[in-house]
Amino acid sequence: MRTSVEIVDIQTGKPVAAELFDDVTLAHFLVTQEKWRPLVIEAAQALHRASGGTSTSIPRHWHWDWTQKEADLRMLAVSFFGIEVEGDLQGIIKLLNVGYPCRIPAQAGLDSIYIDYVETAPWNNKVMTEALGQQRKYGAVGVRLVEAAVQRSIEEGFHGRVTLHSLPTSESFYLEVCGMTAVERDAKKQTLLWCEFTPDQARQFLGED
Amino acid sequence: MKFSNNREWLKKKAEAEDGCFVSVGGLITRLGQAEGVAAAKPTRSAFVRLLQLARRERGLSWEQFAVKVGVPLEELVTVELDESFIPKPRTVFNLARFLRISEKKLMALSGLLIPKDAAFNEEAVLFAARSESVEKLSPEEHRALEEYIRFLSEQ
Repeated sequence: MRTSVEIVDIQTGKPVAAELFDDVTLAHFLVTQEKWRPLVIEAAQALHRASGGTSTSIPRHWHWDWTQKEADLRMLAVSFFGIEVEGDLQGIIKLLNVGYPCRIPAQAGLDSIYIDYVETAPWNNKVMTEALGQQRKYGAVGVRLVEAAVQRSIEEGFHGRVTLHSLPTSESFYLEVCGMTAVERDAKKQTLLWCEFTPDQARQFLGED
Repeated sequence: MKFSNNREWLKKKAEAEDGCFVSVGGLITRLGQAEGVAAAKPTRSAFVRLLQLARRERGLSWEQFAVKVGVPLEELVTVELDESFIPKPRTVFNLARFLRISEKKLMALSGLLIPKDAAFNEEAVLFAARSESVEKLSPEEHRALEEYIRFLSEQ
């Protein structure tokens, strides 16, 4: 599947044509290694220097090693979506369609699409581009990837129910921008916040209500 | 799948997303790991030997090999000469496809991934050790060596 969508050029504020696709391959993961990772490292180092710190860790929410997920490409319960502008990868998401039933009492036990991993290119992130002294490129990449998760949920017959464990730094995105429900801190998952879309919330997120 | 074409919605969402992190997921990525410094030397030796033998088995020069695989010659030569050099993922990907072997295993061998299985390292050491040639130089190797030593001897 490849479909045309629009995202936003941050510099002009105008819509820009993008392609959302699900035929993600190892080659896309390699792009994240070759093009994203050096910038993430550079931004992390710039911030460490600016803060006078000596840490050698990239903040956990900044970058995943997507090549480690290569085996997942062949699993039926797993799907990936990517988003490109003129052939350049702007964001990538990994979804699971089994194993994560909903927890909100009204929909407890019902199937959901679980967002396992998601990342946008460093040039689309405000904190990283500011650390690098560069201009941001595109906005709404994360929104489009979450939209893909909702659409996959609808396609699977889950009516837009989407779940995830949010990292602390991403909670405002999922709660305020997407409008998900903060259900509970999950003691089994590093006390990360378990968030859910109900079908109504998913429709609201899509701008349908 | 139907995606929204409502530009007002898009604009509003883009503004709201600005400045947010969107990541979810698990583990910390260490800087050192990200920079590839954790490459295991035994596997690197095996990686270099594998490339050498694969090239020779096909009767190709490094130049011809680089063209066939679709990777920069300079990078191939650096891989062979510099044990600490970590090749680009794309290069290893192309090599794996050309050699028809697992991309993931070749990445581990090259130092791009850290193998979790101890047996993987042991096999790599054995291969590197067993594949080291004890034969005398072929006439071509002898000639190339002489020519290069002559070149190096010139002032």
